[in-house]
Amino acid sequence: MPDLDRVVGGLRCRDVLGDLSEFLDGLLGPERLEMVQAHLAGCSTCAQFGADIAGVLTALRSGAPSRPTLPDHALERLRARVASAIARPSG
Amino acid sequence: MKPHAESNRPSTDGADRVALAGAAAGDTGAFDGLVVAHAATLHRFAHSLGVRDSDLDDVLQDALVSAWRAAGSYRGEGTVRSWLVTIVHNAVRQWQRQSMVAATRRADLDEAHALESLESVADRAGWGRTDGGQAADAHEVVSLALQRLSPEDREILVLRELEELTGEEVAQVLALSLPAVKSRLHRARLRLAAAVRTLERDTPSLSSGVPHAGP
Repeated sequence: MPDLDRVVGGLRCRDVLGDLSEFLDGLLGPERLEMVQAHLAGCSTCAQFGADIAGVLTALRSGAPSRPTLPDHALERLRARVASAIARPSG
Repeated sequence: MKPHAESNRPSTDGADRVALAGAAAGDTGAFDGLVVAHAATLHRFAHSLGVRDSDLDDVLQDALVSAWRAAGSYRGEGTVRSWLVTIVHNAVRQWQRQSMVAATRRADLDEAHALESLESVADRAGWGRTDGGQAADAHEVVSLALQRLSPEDREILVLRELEELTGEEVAQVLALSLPAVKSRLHRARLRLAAAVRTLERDTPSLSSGVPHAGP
């Protein structure tokens, strides 16, 4: 594993690794963002790793719209069970 | 990321709040509307946490009956959706506790996770290697990898990446601070990448035909 303490653009790889999720989510402040971008521009290791993680997340999210919805019969069964349970006096 | 079409959740939080207030006043029809609006999300969430198909109806019914009884105690903190997901999460935890095997496994994993350094997670996720990494279109592999993660990692990824709850909503569901959510989400993402690497290494047929960037 290459050195995580290598400094590029004023940040260590270790720091960029810690900030990676917030970077990918667009949650870094402007100053920090600029530093991370400078690091990524000069460090192919972090740039490659960031692209890999982003690729995995894109692949994960790409399945979200086509994930199984609840079939009608299952929804109706659940509604009936809940309706029956809450219609009963508790206890 | 671009929000995807939420065909299973036509309700807005404003409408949900009105329906929940109705439920608190005893309107079973209003509560039924909430069930219809959120059933798919709640079902997927419980399923993704490992609740067996044969137990899903019971777990969801228990959770929804609890929600009905607690409707009057909702104080508007967080969205109605995250309030409902929280109740299902609690019901799933109770279901997990009823299974000794799951509980033991969970404790082991909790300990292992607490001990693993970010450096080690990154190493497993392929930091510093140029052997191509993961393919962006490998949705099947990533879904399989997701199922191999611990319940803790899986639940935060499902909530954030698939159900697209906000960070604040996830914090509410998991009873964590926002910084703790960020930290846990980060590690869960790296562990997912690590699981993808492991799957591709151990099951070469999975990655056949998948374009790799590296040599």
